Amino acid sequence: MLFNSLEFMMFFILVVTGYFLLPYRFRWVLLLASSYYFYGSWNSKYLILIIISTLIDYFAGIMMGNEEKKEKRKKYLYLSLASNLGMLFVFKYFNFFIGNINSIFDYIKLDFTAPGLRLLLPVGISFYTFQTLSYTFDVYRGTREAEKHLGIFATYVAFFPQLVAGPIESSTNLLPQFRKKTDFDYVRMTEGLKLMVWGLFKKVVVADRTALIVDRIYNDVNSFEGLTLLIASVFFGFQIYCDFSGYSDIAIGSAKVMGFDLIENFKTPYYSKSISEFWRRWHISLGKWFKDYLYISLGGNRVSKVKFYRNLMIVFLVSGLWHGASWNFVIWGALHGIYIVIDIYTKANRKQFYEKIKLTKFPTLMKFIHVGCTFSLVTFSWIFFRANTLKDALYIITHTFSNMESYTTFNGIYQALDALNAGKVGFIITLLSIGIMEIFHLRSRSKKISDVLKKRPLYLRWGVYYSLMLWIIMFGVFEGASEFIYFQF
Amino acid sequence: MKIHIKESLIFTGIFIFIIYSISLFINSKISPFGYNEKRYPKIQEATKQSDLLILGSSQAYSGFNPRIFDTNLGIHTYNLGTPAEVPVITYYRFEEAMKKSNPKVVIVDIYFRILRYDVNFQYIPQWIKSVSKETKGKMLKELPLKDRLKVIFNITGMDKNISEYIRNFAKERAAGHKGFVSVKTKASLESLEEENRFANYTFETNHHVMKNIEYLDKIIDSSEKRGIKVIFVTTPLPKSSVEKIENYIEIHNFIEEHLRKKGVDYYDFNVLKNPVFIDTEDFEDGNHLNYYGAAKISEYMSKEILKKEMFE
Repeated sequence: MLFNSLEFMMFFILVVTGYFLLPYRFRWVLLLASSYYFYGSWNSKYLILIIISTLIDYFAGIMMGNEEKKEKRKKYLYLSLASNLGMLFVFKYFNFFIGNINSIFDYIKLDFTAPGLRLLLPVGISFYTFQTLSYTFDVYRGTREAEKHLGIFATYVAFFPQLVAGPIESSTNLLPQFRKKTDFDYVRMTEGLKLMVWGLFKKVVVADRTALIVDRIYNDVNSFEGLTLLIASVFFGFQIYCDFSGYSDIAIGSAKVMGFDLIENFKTPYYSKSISEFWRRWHISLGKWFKDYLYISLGGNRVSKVKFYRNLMIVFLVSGLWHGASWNFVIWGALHGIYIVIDIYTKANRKQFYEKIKLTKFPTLMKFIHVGCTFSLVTFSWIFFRANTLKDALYIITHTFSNMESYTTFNGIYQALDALNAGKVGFIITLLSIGIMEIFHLRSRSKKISDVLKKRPLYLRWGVYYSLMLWIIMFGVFEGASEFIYFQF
Repeated sequence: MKIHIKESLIFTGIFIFIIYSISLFINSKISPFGYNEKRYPKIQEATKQSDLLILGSSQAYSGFNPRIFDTNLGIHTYNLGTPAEVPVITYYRFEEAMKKSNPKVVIVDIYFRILRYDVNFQYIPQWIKSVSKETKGKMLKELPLKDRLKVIFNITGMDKNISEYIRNFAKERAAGHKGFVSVKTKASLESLEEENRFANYTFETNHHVMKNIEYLDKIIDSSEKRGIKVIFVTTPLPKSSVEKIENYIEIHNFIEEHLRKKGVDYYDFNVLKNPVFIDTEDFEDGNHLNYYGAAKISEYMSKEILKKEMFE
């Protein structure tokens, strides 16, 4: 069931109504049943994976809770790690692993092909396994007590708003909320609904409109060059941001309607002034997970410089692999690791350089340059993320700036735009939609999007809500509601 | 709480009112199918005097020129083709036309691609405008509930509507004579290759095909009852397009076999051995005839009708 479908709208209305009508103690039953239904509507067989993961981690949590010594708790942590990561490996990475083994056999001319598995990748497996792992880590470290109520724990693992694409919630934030008594709150409900509408705008208008262009170009890269490839790559930056942050907004908004506060997952990341800042504003819940459970376990920054850079590289390589079982994602992760290492390593020198050329006297210009550079670096890395093969990615990189002299005339630019095959009206609508989004982003700055209009007069607020909803209906892509990109992870 | 409920109801009420108003405005002012609506405000009025009716999708309205039939046969012809018209809709439009006209012959264009389509809600507004309330109700019943709502609140996919609206200005001007849409643009081999409309196209039957075939049968049965002769025609595609279709002969055999069992005439210009010489320049694009191609097909078909003495 997709957030951008009529089915979800009906499902959500029913769940919310039932949720507030039910006595408080039975609410988890409704949430668990509806979450399983939500996941089962995609593939009921794979529900078993969530249930297995839930049972193992529930058991591991209880056993760890009974053990005083950390050493004794370790074996249950390993049980949880082995089962969750094992499941992830089999369903997500096994064929990638076998493919690479076969490539090596091929290279050394060994006449043997190891067989792969014919398994469908379970939607959101990386999200819910990481979420449930965060619980076992927390119990192991003693950050929280083991959850004794199996039903509530199962609801935490499968909570439908964030089950398939996050935000990845830590057990310390989300689990206690299932025990909190929440009454219907009109203001909170409207806040949640506004966030859902905003998320829907980003998904069905910006992401799905840009996807029409990006898919056309990226699925046939060899037919294009120059400006057309450049536009497609920039548009993919907007597509992936709007697709994923749109999903997060709908998830956070729908949870809010029911009285749950989920972690904010995006803070206008494309306005970051450095790659380090970008990662504090992009997919915040995953970044926090890696920081809490991998980076710190490796020693974080309390080690030698070399080990510190090594830790950063490991985190980003694993993060790349987390996104998908392909070398493209590994390269994407490695690129970000390299960006961050260079960013930190050259920080002092760059500061000196800016002072020397007196750029620090023009803070706005400096900010503009930094934001532009960060956006360019991120966009460059997205090429590997989106390209269907490594060969395609290399083609895009080598041909994006080819034949640039032909774009010095209006006719040349027109032909590059025409090659996008988006239609004049469609292209203008896409640009306008991105423009609308950026106006909201600039207006909101550090505030939440729902706070932007809070103190404005009613006619203005309602006018904006109506306009946004009309824009979604009029210019959204609804034919065959498209999946969210991050479902595949 | 009461005040919140009141606020929610007012907010929702105003929103529904806005959508409905915009929907009405779009339907009346900037409908992308305006050129069609201007071709026949009401089917009954347009077809009152017709001896020969032509029905089908855009292949029909761009492939048969009523003027040629009228001149060759001394009759009154009207072309009722509409874009993306599936046989389910053709049946309802046929029944609607029968309310006031009494044609002797009906030509139904069969485009194999259309057979695989369901009734598309996006095209419904143009069809329901030219029919009676009763037929409108029947057409709407062919849609699932959510698509019916989309028809009533018809404001989705507006970018396409605006583009179509701009594009169709030309067609509106061309739509001059008895429903025929005359486009004089000539395709070239290069333009067809670039368009590449049929790359790796394979026809497979699905439940839409079976439903559409069922409605073609309904047209045959209804014509038989009324004593109307019905002819089915597949207008030609450019040779380069047909060559790209992996199993065209299977498609042809599937349709031909079914219609033969029903005992009706079927002309498939993609298979008939050189009945008329159709060149690339007789096409507007990869699957529509232009003015010159339509003239050739209309000449041929009017001679066939004459030969078979259908108006005797």
